[in-house]
Amino acid sequence: MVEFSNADWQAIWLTFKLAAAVTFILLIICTPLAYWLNKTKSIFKGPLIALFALPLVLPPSVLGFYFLLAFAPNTWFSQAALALGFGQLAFSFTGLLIASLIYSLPFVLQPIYNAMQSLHTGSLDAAATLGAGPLDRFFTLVIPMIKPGLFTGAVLGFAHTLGEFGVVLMIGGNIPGETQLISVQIYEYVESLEYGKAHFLSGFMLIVSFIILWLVYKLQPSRVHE
Amino acid sequence: MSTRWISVAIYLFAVWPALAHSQTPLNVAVASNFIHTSQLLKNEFLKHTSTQIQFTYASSAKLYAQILHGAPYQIFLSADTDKVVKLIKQNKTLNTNYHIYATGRLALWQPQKRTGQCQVLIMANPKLAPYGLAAEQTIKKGQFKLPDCRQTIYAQNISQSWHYAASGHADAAFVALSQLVSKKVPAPEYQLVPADNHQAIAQAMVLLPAAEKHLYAKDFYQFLQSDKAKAIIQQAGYQ
Repeated sequence: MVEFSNADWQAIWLTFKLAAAVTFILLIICTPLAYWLNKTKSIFKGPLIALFALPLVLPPSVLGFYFLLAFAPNTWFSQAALALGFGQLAFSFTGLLIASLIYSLPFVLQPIYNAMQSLHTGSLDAAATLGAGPLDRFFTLVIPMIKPGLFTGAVLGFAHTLGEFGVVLMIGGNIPGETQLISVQIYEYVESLEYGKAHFLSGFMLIVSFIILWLVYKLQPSRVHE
Repeated sequence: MSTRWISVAIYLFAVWPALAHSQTPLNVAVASNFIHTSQLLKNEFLKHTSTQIQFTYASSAKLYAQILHGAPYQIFLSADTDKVVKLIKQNKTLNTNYHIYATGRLALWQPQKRTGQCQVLIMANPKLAPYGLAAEQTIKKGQFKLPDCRQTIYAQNISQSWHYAASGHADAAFVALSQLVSKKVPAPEYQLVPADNHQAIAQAMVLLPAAEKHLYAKDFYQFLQSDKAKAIIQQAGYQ
């Protein structure tokens, strides 16, 4: 009987930690960003929307390659991160986190942006007439109205980060407890011909992913507007 | 039946398969550390033979898995001997003979001399890559003088070892001599690890069942063992 090794448990814990952190941070970044993108008349709106959607289209190898170059110790990007106290980016959890934030951004941004597009502007105007300030309106009206969008964004962001592989393979360095995620661990088992262990961990991933998605769609809040 | 028809039938039986097979390219599965050298060998072989050779590059483990599941290669050039022997044991090869076509040499590359302590040493994962295993054995043996690095990072394979070092992530990296040769890295930047520091990185090749029906599979396999091929392989940084 094959069992999970300590390295497996570590990889499982690390993967969920990364997915949770990415989802949390992206929700905080994407909600105001989507709100601004919806309201703005700036000429940069189009290019920005295209820019934020790029990770949807680009192969992970392209992202991974650019991250690998950007994370090298002597680049301005790494120097800036070092100056801000993030430490070394390549082969570290922080580096993976930054890469995953960019990699999963469109998966969180798009649903929130779409939900905001169908916002009922009438109620917002009414609230403004009744004296509610912009922040007040954002938190008491916008947020509750886009709940389904937030929910979908969070699920997609989490799931997409769980399934991350290509980028991690290129910038991770496969360090247990730091950058060795489940997907990379499975890859390592397959490459070292330990098919039994690979099966076990893959099966676990399959079942857990299915259960998460199933629960999530079951619990999904009903739409405010149709 | 007239003798003429018989001779036509014999002709078709004898020649048709040959004609048909000369159209299909020779599919060779090659471990990715041998990409550069395999191209040189192919060019040399095609000087005298008109056929098509198609290389498929991947890690030996991926190619092994593909062959195990019936991938239509005629020849397998592995980065180690282990996987070839495993295929033979599982009856996935044409016969039980295999041949060491190249022996890899490990080198320590220090792309840029930075001041201060060595931060990152890169090596291929010893669990996955023959060059990684050799690097690990070299470190354990302790005879080869290494810089004192703060952190050791495992790359997936020797190519990634190279990429990490080439993109400025490493102060020192274990790479293959063949990579240094093909990229024309100046000699002062690297040291060859003496071969007695680790087990030989013996790269084996083997004929697969599909080779039986291909006109040029055995020719190419023989060519890879010829003196001409050996010279090319040696020049590319192998033994």
